[in-house]
Amino acid sequence: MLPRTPILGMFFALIIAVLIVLIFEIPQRPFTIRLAIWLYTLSLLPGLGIAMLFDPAPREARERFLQINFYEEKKS
Amino acid sequence: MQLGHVAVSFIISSYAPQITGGAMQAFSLESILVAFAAHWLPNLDVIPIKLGWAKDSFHCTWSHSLVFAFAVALILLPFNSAWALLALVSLIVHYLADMPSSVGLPLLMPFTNKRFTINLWADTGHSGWDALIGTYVQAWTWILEGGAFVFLFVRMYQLGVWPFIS
Repeated sequence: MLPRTPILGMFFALIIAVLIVLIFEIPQRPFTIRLAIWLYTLSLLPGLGIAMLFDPAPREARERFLQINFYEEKKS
Repeated sequence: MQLGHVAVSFIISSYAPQITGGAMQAFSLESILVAFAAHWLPNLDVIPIKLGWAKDSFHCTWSHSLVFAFAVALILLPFNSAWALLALVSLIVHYLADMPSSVGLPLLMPFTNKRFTINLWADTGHSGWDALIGTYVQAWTWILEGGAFVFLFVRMYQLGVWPFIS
């Protein structure tokens, strides 16, 4: 994995978290700092995934796994 | 999908009132148990494989077909129609969650063995650490499974449950 991927992931997570606040925040129940930290932490998961799309290593791993048939009968 | 099924089960439970016509409450113990049990049921096909009663190729076959989903709902229907509805939705959502895997799902078994997939990530086997780790070195699993956890957070916020209780 490229060194920039986790940093990019943190950036995408920020975008996801901000979008969620903008779209879903209820004016009567605004997000507190504590909840915003929760939201950002969870957003790191899909954020990292989006960053991985720009990294060749996950793509190569996918190609490698596509070559394997995990359900082929094992020869004894 | 692997760990993302946990988030998806809770998300289904959050929609229990809409699915069951108000017969079950969102995030109630009953709706969580039914959604979890039904949503994870298809993956129990690894048990006969592990016990040596079925071949590896048994995974993602009958238990991942629409016939199975409707059969489970029909079995539950005489006992509790709300459970039957929630189980049917949970099973169908399980299939949708698994469709991005390259293994493909034979949704129309026994009428055809054609497998349906949108092929976003490569399948890495039915169980074990290698399968788990292999899943999470791929980008789309993080996007969709992580997205499921973020969506669960939004549902909890909308419904005002922990950690949003003021």
